[in-house]
Amino acid sequence: PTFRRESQTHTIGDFSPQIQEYAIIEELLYVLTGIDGVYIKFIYPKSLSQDESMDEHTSEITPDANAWNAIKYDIDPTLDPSLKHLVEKLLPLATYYMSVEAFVNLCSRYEYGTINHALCSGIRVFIKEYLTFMAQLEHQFQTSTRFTLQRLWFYAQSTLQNMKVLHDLAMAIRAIQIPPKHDEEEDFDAVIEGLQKEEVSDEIHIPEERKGGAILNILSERLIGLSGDPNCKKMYTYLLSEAAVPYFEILNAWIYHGEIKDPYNEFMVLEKRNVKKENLKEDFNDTYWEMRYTIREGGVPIFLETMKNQILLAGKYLNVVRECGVNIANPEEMQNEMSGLTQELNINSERGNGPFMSTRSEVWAAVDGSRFVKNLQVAYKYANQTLLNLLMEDQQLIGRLRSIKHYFFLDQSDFLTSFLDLAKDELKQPASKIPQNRLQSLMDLVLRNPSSVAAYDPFKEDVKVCMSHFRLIDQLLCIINPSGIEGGVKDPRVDTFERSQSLSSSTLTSAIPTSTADLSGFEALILDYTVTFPLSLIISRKALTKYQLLFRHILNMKHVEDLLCNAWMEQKNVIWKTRSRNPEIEQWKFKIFSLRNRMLTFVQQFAYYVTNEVLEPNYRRLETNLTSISTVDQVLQFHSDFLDTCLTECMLTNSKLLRIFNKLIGSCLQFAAQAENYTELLTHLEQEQRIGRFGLPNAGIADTSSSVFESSMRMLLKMEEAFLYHMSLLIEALNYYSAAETVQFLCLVVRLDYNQFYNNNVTRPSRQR
Amino acid sequence: QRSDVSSVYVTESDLLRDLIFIFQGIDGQYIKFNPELNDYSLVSGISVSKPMEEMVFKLADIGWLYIKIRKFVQLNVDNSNIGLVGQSLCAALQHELTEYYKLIAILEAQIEKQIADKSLPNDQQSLTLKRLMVWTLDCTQKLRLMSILVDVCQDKKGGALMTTIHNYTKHGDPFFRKYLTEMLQVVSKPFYEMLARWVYEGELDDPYGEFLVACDPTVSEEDLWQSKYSIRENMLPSFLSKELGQKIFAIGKSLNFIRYSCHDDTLVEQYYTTFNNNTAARLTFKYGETKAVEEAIDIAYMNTSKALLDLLKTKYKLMDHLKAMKRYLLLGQGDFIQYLMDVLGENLSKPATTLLRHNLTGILETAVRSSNAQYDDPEILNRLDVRLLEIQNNDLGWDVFTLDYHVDAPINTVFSPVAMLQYLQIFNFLWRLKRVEYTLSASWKKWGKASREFANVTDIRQDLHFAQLTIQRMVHFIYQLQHYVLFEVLECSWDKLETFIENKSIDLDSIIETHLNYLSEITEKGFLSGTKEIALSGRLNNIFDSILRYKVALDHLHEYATSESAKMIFGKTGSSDKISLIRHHQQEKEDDFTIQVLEFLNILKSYHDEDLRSLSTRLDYNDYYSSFKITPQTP
Repeated sequence: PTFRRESQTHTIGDFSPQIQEYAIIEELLYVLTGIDGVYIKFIYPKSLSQDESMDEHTSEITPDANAWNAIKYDIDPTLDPSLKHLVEKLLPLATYYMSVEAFVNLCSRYEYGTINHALCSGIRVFIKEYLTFMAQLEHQFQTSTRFTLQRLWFYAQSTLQNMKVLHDLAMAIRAIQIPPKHDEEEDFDAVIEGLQKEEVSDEIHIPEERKGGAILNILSERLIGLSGDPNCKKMYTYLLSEAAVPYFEILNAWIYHGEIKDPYNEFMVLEKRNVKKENLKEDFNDTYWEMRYTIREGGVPIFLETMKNQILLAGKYLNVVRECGVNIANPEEMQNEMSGLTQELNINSERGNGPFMSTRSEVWAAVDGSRFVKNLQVAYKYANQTLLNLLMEDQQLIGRLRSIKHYFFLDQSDFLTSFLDLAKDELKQPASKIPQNRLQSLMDLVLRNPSSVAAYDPFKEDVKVCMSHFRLIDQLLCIINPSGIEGGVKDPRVDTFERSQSLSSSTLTSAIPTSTADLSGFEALILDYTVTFPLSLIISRKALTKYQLLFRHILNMKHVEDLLCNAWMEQKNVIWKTRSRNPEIEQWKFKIFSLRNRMLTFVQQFAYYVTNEVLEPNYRRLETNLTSISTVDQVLQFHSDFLDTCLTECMLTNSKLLRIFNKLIGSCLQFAAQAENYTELLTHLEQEQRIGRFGLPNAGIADTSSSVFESSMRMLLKMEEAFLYHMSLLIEALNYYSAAETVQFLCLVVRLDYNQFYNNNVTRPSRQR
Repeated sequence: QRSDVSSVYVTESDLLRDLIFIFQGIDGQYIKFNPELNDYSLVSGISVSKPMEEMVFKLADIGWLYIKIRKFVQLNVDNSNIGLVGQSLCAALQHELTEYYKLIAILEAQIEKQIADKSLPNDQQSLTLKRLMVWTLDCTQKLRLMSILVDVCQDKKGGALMTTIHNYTKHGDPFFRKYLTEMLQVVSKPFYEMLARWVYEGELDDPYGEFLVACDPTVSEEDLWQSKYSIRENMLPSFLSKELGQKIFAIGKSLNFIRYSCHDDTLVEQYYTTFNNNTAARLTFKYGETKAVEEAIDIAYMNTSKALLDLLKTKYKLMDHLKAMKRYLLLGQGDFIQYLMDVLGENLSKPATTLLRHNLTGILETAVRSSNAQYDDPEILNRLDVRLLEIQNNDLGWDVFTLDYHVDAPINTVFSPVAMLQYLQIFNFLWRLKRVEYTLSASWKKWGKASREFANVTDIRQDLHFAQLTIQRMVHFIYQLQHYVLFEVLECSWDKLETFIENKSIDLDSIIETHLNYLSEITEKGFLSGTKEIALSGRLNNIFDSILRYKVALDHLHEYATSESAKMIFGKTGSSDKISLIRHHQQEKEDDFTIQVLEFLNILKSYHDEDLRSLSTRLDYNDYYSSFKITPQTP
């Protein structure tokens, strides 16, 4: 527009004060609506004018948050000084208006999220009021001759206050410090997310500190912090109630439907879409449950802080239920369904009065009344109940666990005996040479055999045979060492995390075959179990691995027991029974018998301890616990506690005990391997004796075989010694750990040394060479 | 306030008057649209105070927005390409503009009054620029939203347009949301009408291709199910889930199928009457009622699918046809097949060129009449026919003979040509297997007799014995194979199919899919397709061939033995040349068989397949073949 400025040669000081006042009021009315006047001009700070001129695509509101306060006004210097002072007092109102208006325009853009939008719409009401007020002033100004600057100042008081409140709020939001991003984590996620949808990149990213829950936080903080001023409090209450509406919409969708309808990433629960339930079967870390939905730490409104876990869980449960294709009731239906439980609710309602009291605060009154807390309780209960029903009834969790117990803890293990019989030949071979599908078909055969107990197990189809790549002991030591389970009880979450880490790391180390070469079928044999989705939350890969460890432990003992029993059978032969003439041979035989017996006792007692004193009672406990649970996380907790207790009490988590035990089992195996030779040797010796009787009157042993006999005797003594040594070591260690770790070990000590044999015989575990 | 000599002083009310024009997209006296700047500017030569000018520009934005919207409406209102949803968008915008005109009319009246009574400027109601600003605050916002819509809806139609608008409703401001939602409700009306008509009548009223289902009118009724309709992914509004889209698609398709392929209108009639009585049901189809829509669709889906399946199962006897296929084409009806083979055996051993189809049809008829098949439904028996494949050189009757089963609409939707081809393939395989078995059992009988018959021919006694052993081996092989194919492949697959159709089937698509799975499972497990085909089917054919060749060799031996025993009577001795030649041949064929079987077993064992494991164990159950090393020359 060609407006001829140069014509304006006059200055305001040329006029009389009345005219000056008149002119300046007219001018002010424009300035206060953010329009440059003739005598009063805005001087924007540099950063701000940039921001104004630059546009939509700079996501930063201002680099310098204080810029708005730095707006100055250029007032015609010739203006009457007293008028000028009055004008200067009024001018902040223009600043406030500009600042608030700019804030509204910026934050109602889509990328700022619904909370900001709603807040802006709340603010817009005030702006409208303000503009109306301006129009009224103008009207006053035009109609009344007695309208003076003083009067204007007087009228503007309450508006000035309101606008200041809004301006301060806008400034507070602008002033939010955005912490520097942790590049690694964020980038990692971003890369994964980015892989899935690339169109995100061209959208403007608003940091979460500046939207969603964070905004609500600021509002509620200020509501409480500034509640001394009734007007201010009223405004904040209004703004907060407006701004919270979208948030509660998302929240309700989450707690009532288990869905996140959160296009702008404002909600306190974060969904990671790349974590899929399908991964659960393969993944060692059962991340689905933990990782799929997480709480966005920055995004939780303070007033929801106390119940954030409940909110998270309610939605999470419902989500699982929905993924399993079960219908979710309406909120009203939930209410009805849960109304029977209200009594219980009150008792249960959130340990203590904390949240209840806090919900009476002003903030709650502003957002929702305290209805939400009640709703949340109902929804949470409902979600819990539904998922529990799903797990316990539809998916028969207890039945599943029982079935798993059959197969992994061998509580009705007739199938295993016949399987081991059938597969004996295969299992003797090195693990790498065993055809797995043959084993599988043998297993199928055994399981489907109607004379087996397993035939009546509805889940028998899910059992699979597979081969482990490394020894039980190696695997266990691998798990124990990096994770320091012995390092005392830590935060359970950390602990499980570490353990899951170590479980996965143990698979990694499997790539380095330390002892793969000589792994026999018996050592490598493990069972596997197919678990489908909702159950795999509980019986995850991690849990299954623990089951497998226990299974291998038991199998190991069963196997050794079997071998020792075979040796016993063999030694029941006539040749062993008939008294030998040679006392040396008799003594040797006696030694063999007694050692075998000790070993057998050891193995059997140990097996008895593991199955009857550890697994069985613990399982009983688990089952009773499961009948009286009320939340799914409890189920998870109980189940993992159960497994951990079992592992600990079976000495699988203590490297020292484990090593000793391994030595003992090793010597048993060695003995069993030797046992065949003994019979041979004995036959040979006896024959020689007989020959001796007919031939030379030779009462001793022939020279040739005497050396063999000698060495065998020596071996035997060594084995016996080692066995005794380790045994007493074990007992001592058990005594020690029973004080430190679990009392359960005492039972084992009593069992192993029930007649104080080891205690009396070998008082000091010193290796006598 | 001041005017220059060269410029005209313009009052606020003059500007107001101008602005009212501007609001309607008409240039005012002092404010004119400048197309170069794409904005309004004041005409030169007038004097307006700076703040007032700025105010005017702020207000003139409204005019700019209005022009944009009006242009869009004018451009598109007669444009048929925009589609029904687009038209309704235009109508909705037009409606909004009417509201806007109303406001302007009020404002204008105000201004006219003001100008008329210049004498009374201090009226309460007087309008000023600031007042105008306050008055137009709401309408500015509406116009702004409309202009956004105008921007984004350019060149979009139907479901895509709705998706676009829907995306804009995700705003936290209740005003925005309400406004856009209401707008979308109006705009989406045609779409939902189409949806209701499609879901309840199976009709597609979609002249501009806006609906999520596309129809290809050139496709004949025969292929109605398979290819007449297709989903337009981009026309599915984003607030309806993909599964829902799939269901909607299936409902309409099923309705069409029921109406045009099965000629049954009862369901649609029923819908029609209920909706005439009860308009509320139709009303559920509108934007914002996603849940109600989903429920309504679900119900319709269940109803339609059920109706269609019932129709197929009862009126068109789907199960009977499936069973018939299994009985006749997959040799389930044993007595019939046995008889057919007995009667046909003679004919089929002749060269294929000499076969006459009508003869064979007659024989088929006889076979039907003389077996239990005669009690079958005549409708099914009528469909049974003989077909001769294309004849190649040296083909025997065996090679070209097949049974055929005629299917017509609407059953042929399930028994598509692809499926029928697979049936044919399976039949050929089974027929061949049966033929080998038939031949072998004939030989077995023959040689059982022969061992007594030629007991006096001493020098071939051992040959007779060997022959019997070899036949026994072949019989074992064939029986085991047959057992595998009939029980482990056919019956297992059939069981799956039957339970699915009886209990779990939801819609026709699932049945078609299961049926195809059933067939492909059979062909795959029967070594007729998939990876195993390449490795095994050739081998199997070789085995069959070698058995048949061995039979020929045996026939030579038999001839020889007959002549020998005849000679015996006359006290002559035969030529040892001939017998050694025959023995050589026989040995050769037998070795061939053994080699083939060994290779077959080798390949079989290399598969880690549960089904094949038991087959290979059974074929080699006492490790007979395992005892052959790789050199099977010395059995």
